[in-house]
Amino acid sequence: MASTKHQTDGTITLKGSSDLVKEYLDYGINSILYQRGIYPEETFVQAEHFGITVFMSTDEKIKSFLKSVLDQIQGWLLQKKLQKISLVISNSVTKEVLERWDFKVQYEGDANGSAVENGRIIGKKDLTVIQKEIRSVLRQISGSVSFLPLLDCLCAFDVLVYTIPDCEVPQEWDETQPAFIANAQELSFRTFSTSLHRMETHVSYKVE
Amino acid sequence: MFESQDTEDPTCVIKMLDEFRQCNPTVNRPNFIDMAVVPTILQFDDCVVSHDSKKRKHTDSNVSVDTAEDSNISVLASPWETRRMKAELAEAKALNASLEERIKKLHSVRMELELVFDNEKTSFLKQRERDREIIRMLEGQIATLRKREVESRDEFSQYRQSTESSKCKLEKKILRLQEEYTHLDDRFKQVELTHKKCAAGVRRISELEGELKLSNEEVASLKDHIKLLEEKVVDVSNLKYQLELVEHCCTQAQQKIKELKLEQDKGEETRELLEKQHHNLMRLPDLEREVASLRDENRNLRDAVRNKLVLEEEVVDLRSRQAGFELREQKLAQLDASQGHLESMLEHWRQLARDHCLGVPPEKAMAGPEFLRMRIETLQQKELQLTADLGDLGIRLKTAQQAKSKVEMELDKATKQIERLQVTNDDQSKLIKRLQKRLLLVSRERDSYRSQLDMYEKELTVTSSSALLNSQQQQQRSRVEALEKTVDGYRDLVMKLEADLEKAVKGGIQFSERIYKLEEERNTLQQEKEQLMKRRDELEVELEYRALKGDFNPMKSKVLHIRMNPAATVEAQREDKLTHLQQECNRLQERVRVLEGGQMQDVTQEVNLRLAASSTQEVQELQEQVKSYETKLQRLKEAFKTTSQEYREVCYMLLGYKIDRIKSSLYRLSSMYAESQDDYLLFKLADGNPELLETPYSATLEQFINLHLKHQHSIPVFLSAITIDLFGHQTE
Repeated sequence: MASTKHQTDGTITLKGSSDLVKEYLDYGINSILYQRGIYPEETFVQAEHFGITVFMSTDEKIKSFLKSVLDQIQGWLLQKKLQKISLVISNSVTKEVLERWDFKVQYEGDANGSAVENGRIIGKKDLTVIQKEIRSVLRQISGSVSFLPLLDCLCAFDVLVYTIPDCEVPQEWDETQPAFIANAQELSFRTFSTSLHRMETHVSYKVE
Repeated sequence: MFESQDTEDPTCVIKMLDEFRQCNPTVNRPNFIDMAVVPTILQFDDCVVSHDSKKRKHTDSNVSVDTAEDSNISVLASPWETRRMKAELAEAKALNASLEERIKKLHSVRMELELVFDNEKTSFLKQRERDREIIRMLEGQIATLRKREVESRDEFSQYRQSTESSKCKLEKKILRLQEEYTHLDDRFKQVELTHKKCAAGVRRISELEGELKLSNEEVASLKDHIKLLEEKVVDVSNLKYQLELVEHCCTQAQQKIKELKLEQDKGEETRELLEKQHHNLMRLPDLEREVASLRDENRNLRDAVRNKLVLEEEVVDLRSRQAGFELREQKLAQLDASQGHLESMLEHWRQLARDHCLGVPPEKAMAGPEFLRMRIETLQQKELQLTADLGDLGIRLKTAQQAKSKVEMELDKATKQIERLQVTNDDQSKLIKRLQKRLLLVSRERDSYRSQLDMYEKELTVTSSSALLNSQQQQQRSRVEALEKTVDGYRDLVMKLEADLEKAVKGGIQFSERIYKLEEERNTLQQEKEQLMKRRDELEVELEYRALKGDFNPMKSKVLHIRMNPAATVEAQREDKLTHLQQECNRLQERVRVLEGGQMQDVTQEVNLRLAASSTQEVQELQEQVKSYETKLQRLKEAFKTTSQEYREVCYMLLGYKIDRIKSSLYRLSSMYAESQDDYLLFKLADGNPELLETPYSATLEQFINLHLKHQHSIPVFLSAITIDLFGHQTE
């Protein structure tokens, strides 16, 4: 992991940055699934990442689903076609959207002190700093369970990806409508930046 | 190439001959009479064969030329002529030689070509013969193939018929067998049922017998067991009796022990009491002394208490009296203060009264209030009068104001009128000025005309005396005409200018109107623009707000998700579960109905049968399909019926015969002009050709049958002949 991330201390390649974003999304989505009780707690195991313990799902279906989605997201990230990722939690009976977690991506590779070495875009930021930022966001997500409203019905989740209009739709993907929540309360979490990508995290939930 | 050579050469030769002939026309003509045939025969056509004749003819002509030459020499004796002739002869010979060479070449070429052509011809002939042979072979093959085809077709039709017949037979067999099978199946089922029942009965009996034996054995063993147990019971009862006795003695003994213990306790208690009483007796004299002293104290205390109560009552009395005196003191102080205040007020009032009641001596100041009252009354009356006056004045003021406003309006109107009148006045003054100018012009014109007229008159009077002033008159006339023209021109110019002036004025007005309208439009458009800008700002703000809130702009982004996502899988599962539950529910309902119907055995079988029989989804679909097909069939049948009816009617009307199909190849024809319904013809279809069958009516048509069918072998002619005959009968 160290070799792909930096050649010298403090440099991040585009691939490395997208790897970081993908890992963050993976742990973030898993911890949201655990915290909001979408799946039973017994199906989660603790794992150590970025210096904190995160709960990862052991369900094969969820793992394979997340893997395929995140692989595609990483591909789109490298092509700069990705704008936003939404984790939508909806009531499985009435199909009503109860919560929406937005992960907005901004590309800052060309402006913020990045250099072009060997023909590839490189960012200058220390890996430990990035990891600390990611850690704080993940902790915030875990702590959010205290004020978010209780989901006491059977819920199902879905991952929606917002891309630029002229992005080709792969085989297993479909175009769909975005998920709206009426009378939504929105909250922003901390943002972290890898000097090539900037991730903002928000949650919109229905006010009772 | 050969042909072109041929055409070239003949033409060269012909040209040469013509030249030659031309050279010697007078010489050759008389001698050519007998040889006249020769030149004419020299017709070079394209045939190869004629080449020999050409050559021959040419040599003949040469020979004839030579002979002509000889005869020519004998006739003319001029040397020049002879020289010329010889030169010509040499030329001709040279030509001849060249031509002969050419001819030889051509011949050789021709021979070669002949050879080539012969070869080709032979080859073509051979080819043709071969082709003919091939054709003959192929024709033979075709004939054989056709025969085979016909044969195979016949065979095929035969096979088909045979297969169809066999198929019918087999189907019948199948039906029969199926029926038998169903019969046998029913019988078998019945037998099975009975068998089962019997078997079940027999089994039951055997089972019961076995059970009976077992039970009997058990009964015997149990009886022995019972006897043993009874003996035991007796022993046990004896033991019990003894045990009871012992228990009884035991309980009695325990009771006695308890009683003794109680008595012992009581004894101890009394001992303690006795000891205490002994102590008390020792202390008795002391206690008596204490009692006396205490009684004295008691008496003293009671007296003190009585005194205290009395004193307390007095104290309460005095305190209440003191409180009352204090209140009175306070009131006194207040009254003193108020009295002083009131006296000062009274002095003030008196002073006031004195001041106001002027002309009253101070001695009568004590009766001040009454004077004051009178003054006040007078003042009040004055006030009333003044208010009445004020009201009157107000009314007068209002009327005066209204009058003033009216007058002002009238004044405005008058000023406006004055302005208008002034404007009209100005216009009219301008008009007057214009008219005056015109008048001046006109009067000047008139004067000038008058002067001219006077001049003319003078001249006329002058010229009337002398008649030699025609030219002058003419000059004057012309001058007059010119002047008149100029005047007309000036008049026109003036009119045009005035018209232009009016137009300009109108235009000016129009322009001002247009300007006004344009300004109004501009104002409205500006207002609209402002409104639209506001709306746009509002919408932008709203859009930003919504973008912040997570709404998305379809222009800028696209939303994608994986088809097999957990939400979709959950939904699919729910639907599956729902259909599964529905099916189970249906099944259970059927089961309940079956059970309520009373059937206890083979319930599941019955349920499955009923479910299959009842309308499930597939069956419903199939039923709908069947219905649709049936409706289609109905429609097709109706359509077919109508079209077939129409066709038959048209046939009947056009051809004159109604054709009814009685059986599969039996047709009945009745003519339109038939004399009765029974006059019909029967035709049977045999091998594709209809044959006439005997009917009572056809017996009367022997004549037609003989002529048209037997001799002419044409049924249409026969039928049309019958129609014509019947029509003829009818019209007669």
